[in-house]
Amino acid sequence: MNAIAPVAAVGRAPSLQAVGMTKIFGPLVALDDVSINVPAGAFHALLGENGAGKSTLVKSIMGFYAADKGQVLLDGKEVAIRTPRDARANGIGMVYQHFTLVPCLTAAENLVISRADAPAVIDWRKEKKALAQFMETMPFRVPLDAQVSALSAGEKQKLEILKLLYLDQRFMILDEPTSVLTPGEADEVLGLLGDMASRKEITVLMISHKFREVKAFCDGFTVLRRGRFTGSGDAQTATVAEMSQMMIGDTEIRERAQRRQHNDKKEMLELAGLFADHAEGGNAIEAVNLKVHAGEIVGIAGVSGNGQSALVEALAGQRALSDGAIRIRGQNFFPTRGDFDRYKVFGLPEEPLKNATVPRMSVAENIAFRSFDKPPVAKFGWWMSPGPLRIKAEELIARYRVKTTSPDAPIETLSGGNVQRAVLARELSGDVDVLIVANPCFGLDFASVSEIRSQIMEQRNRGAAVLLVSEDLDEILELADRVAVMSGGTITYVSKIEDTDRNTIGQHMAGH
Amino acid sequence: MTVASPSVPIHRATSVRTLKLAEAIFVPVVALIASALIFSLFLLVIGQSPLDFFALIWTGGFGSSFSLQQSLQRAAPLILTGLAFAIPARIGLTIIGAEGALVLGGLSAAAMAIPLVSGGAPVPITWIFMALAAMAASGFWIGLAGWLRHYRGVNETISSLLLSYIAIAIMNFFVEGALRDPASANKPSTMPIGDAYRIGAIPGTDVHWGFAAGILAAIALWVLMSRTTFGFAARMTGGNVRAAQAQGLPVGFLMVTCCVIAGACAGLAGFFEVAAIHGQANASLVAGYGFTGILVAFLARHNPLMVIPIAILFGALAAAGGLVQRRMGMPDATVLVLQGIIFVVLLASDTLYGRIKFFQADLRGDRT
Amino acid sequence: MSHINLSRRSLLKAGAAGLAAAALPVGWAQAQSPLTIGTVYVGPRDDFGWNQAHSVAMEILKKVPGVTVIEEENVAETDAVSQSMESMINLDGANLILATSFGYYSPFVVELAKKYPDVEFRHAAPLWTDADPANAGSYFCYLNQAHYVDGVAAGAASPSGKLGFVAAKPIPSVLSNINSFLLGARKTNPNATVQVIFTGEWSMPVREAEATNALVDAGCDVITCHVDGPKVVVETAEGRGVKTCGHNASQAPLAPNGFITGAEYKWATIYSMYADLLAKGEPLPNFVAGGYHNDMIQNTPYGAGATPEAIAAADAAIADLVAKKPIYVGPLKDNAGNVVIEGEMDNYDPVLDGMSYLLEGVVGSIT
Repeated sequence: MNAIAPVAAVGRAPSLQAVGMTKIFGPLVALDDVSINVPAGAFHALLGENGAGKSTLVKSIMGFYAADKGQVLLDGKEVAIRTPRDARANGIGMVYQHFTLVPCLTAAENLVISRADAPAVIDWRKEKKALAQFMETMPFRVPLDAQVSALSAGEKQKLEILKLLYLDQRFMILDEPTSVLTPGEADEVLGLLGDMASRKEITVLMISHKFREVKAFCDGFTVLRRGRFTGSGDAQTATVAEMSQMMIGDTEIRERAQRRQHNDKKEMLELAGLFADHAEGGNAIEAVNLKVHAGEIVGIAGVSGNGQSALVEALAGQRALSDGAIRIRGQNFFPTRGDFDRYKVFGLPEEPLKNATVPRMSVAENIAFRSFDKPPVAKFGWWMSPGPLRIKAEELIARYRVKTTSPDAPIETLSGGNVQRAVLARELSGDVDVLIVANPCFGLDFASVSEIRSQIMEQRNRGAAVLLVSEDLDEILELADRVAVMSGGTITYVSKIEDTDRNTIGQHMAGH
Repeated sequence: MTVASPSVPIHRATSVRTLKLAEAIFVPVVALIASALIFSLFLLVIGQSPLDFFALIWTGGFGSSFSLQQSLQRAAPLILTGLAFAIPARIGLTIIGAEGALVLGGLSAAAMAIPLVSGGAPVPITWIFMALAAMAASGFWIGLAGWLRHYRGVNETISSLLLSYIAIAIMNFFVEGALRDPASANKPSTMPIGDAYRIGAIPGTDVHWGFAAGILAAIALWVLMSRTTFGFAARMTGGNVRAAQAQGLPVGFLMVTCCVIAGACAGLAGFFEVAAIHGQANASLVAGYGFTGILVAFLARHNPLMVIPIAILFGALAAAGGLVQRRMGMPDATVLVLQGIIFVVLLASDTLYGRIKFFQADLRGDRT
Repeated sequence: MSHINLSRRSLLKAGAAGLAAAALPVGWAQAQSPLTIGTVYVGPRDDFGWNQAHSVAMEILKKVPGVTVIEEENVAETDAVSQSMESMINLDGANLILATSFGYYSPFVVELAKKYPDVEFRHAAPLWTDADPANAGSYFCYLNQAHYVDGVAAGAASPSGKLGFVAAKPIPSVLSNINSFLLGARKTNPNATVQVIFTGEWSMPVREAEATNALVDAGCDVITCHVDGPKVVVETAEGRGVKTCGHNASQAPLAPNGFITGAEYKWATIYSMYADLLAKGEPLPNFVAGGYHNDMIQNTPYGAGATPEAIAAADAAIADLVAKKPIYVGPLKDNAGNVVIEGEMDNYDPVLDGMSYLLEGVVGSIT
């Protein structure tokens, strides 16, 4: 990181103001008279819960949406941005939550084809030379000749940022840029951006959920809630409590369930030498050994893509095991409907709409997935009565406060939090012995998150064995009794939560 | 667990269901009217009168008891082949092999009839055995496509189409070889079952019993898909196979079973073609009913009950198509153009579901 | 419903092809009621083949005063044809049905004839027997005679004497055309051979093109065929620079360089005979069959591929056939060496209708 940015770049960072932005989708006011001010060379955080309007705001600035009202000023001058092409022409670029690189091309090829004026026939020798010169001026490097699919997540994210610089887009909008990175990688990338911003080479507007990052790297922040501006300030002087108050407002948060001590710790769930194949050859998971006791939450931490989802799929019966055994109370368990019921195994998969529901079926039907083939819904084991199904659904919808216009509404019309509540109602309303949970709060709002976490804790306190797979380290630190780290498809580290800390876990996540 | 009263009253359930039903009727009707308008433009361009055309369609399809019976008769195999596409579609499989399954079913029925007829078996027994042979052979055939899909990862659309060609080749092989009636010199066929063993018309009509069988099958399969645990599990699998797996459902069994049911429907159609129409199996069994059934099922949105009126509509179009040819001197392809337009417009209209404000209960007021 | 009341006693045996009518009751002409003729085709009317041959001849009937012709194409050999015919009867008032495809007869024409005794049905294949309804009937042309003439011309026009035949299915009518083609060729070139490839389907254009190419590759320099649509075969052969003989209808325009002649039906003879009888109010015969001697088949006018010797030999062969000189003169062996025909066979002998062999000189197998 010794390369010195060219003199020309210094001071080229633009300032951006958006004034009175309003965007209405049908009956929903997604953005209501929101203004934001990002000075030149700032590293500005945009905070808010899911659905607060952050994405709508940046998409309106980028020209994906046409705002119904409001204007965008760049360096104090009003600019008309109607399409993403206009944004690009004005030097505004965006890094998305998910990579937009072409995996089968090299880094250099990805850079060249990203240009709006990329020629039909590319003179690679000339382009390579120009790229090499460009890289000389950059504060960080990415192996240009490597195929993108071979790069690490951190390198890919750097390449995304390089792409913006290569296109000379000096106002950068980053949408949760660190969600796919290890804590170490995240700190490195954000640190580099912070340095460039402080040299006034770029201006950054970052959407984030992570207060730690905001406190560590940002200078200013703006908070939205329910489509409205609720506050802004200096990220260094404001406290986390103040910022979260702006985000969640006065929403009442349920009290977190207390952790109860269990003395009699029976072994409940055992994963014995699990192997499963990867779709592209090799093992997705190999030799996974783990035990979970009754009344215990074991958290599995790891960077996305290290076999956690394959493990969850294997436990849920979505992926075949090539070797090993799952045992519950010492008995072999197979992920069939019979065994799920016999051993009282329940699950909260990640992205419930995708993994735990049938989007087009009604809320009532989705709630009946565990019970549709048992009395009182099913008679003789095959004839279904709509009456009992409905009564049960109405009861659970009320008990778990699932907001829906009708039990007959397709579940896809519900918000993320309510889909998750419907799944909780289905999976946790009975007697649970083993609970498999994967990223249960991903993409949910603050109130839902705390509610769901307390429900998981409640199951633990009742004596269930809980396996919690999460990419959110904070979640694991908050809930788990023991933590295991998954890296390269296997478990590399297990520790009681009180015997470890964030740094140690982070190092194991990074594969050290 | 804190028990709270529901934050939104749920007494609107009935109205949501009514609205859904109204939408399910309104959208296809609008699509049919739009197709008729587009087709009218086409007719005007080629210098024909749309009024005459639709008047003839009415006359030929529904205008008299005779026309209506013709439409119903033509609808008979289409109901069954439509079901053969619709049932696997409910579990997420695109099976387009009903044509071959029908042919194989017809061949099996005719082959089963040979010993029974020559042995003088009672007529109803013969029919039952012929129908069972047809349904078993075709059920196995389409079941194979489902099995290949689940256990070997072979795309079921491709495999069912290829199996369809193989079935037709098998029929030709036997009809021109081992099962050939020596008297059928210039058109190789199996031994005729004879008039005594032919299935006749529903009393008082010219429509053969295959139509009644189709209606019964459609009702039975509607009950199966919407009122039984099997149907519920199949719809779960079709809607989201990952969720179905996570619920421990036997996804492979469900898929193969749906395919077997589909094959049995096509086989039953083949049985009626042999027992009620041809009296023997020959190349005439390859009549395209299997492929028309795909359109029927699509337009019925894979609802077994909706298959019935759509099949009758297609039967009427086919019945009236001849009249249009004869009276207006237009080529046979004209009605195909209309069918094509209906198909495309109805597919396009699929995107209308959930978009028309009138039919939407206020589902999105709960954004948090 | 008018009463045509045609006689059903005028049965004429195969080969006799009589045009006479036995009775003269009060008929359609006297009653002055309209006559509507409904014709069903199995394929498109412009297929360069079987359907086109019928459709062209149908124009004759359309010119008869008081006669309305209604036509329907692409009618499958399923109950679709029953329905089309029934619809013609009920909705258009048709009183004569011409069913032009082989598979229409049984059970569809037979059953409808029983159901509608006042409507006349005529079907284009020699299938009607005494046991069938009297208001049904057959008409048929012995096209193998024209294939024989093709063979005569091809034998003279082929330098190598190696001829090729693309055939659909090994059924008697096809085998008869192949064997007659061979016997014709042997007339002008005693060493001629005919190599045959069966495609197995009546219409399978890709396989027909492959078969044509295979025959050309094997050294054949004249190609002919018996498939539903000869277009592909003729065009492919022309593209490969070899000569062709046609089938069913005129394919002369498709092969400007290599076309020799072709075997064609002359349905017009039968249809105009029907029209005459109907105009006079006389009954239609139940069975009409014929060939060159009664002008029911023809050969396509000679194309550029026909040499003067070929033309002379073919004209002579036509004259022989008009004089009813036999094609099959024994002893003839099949290509497995068994004697299949001992003496002279009349060109309309029913035995020939059951032909199940390929003659010596034909390269190929029916199994």
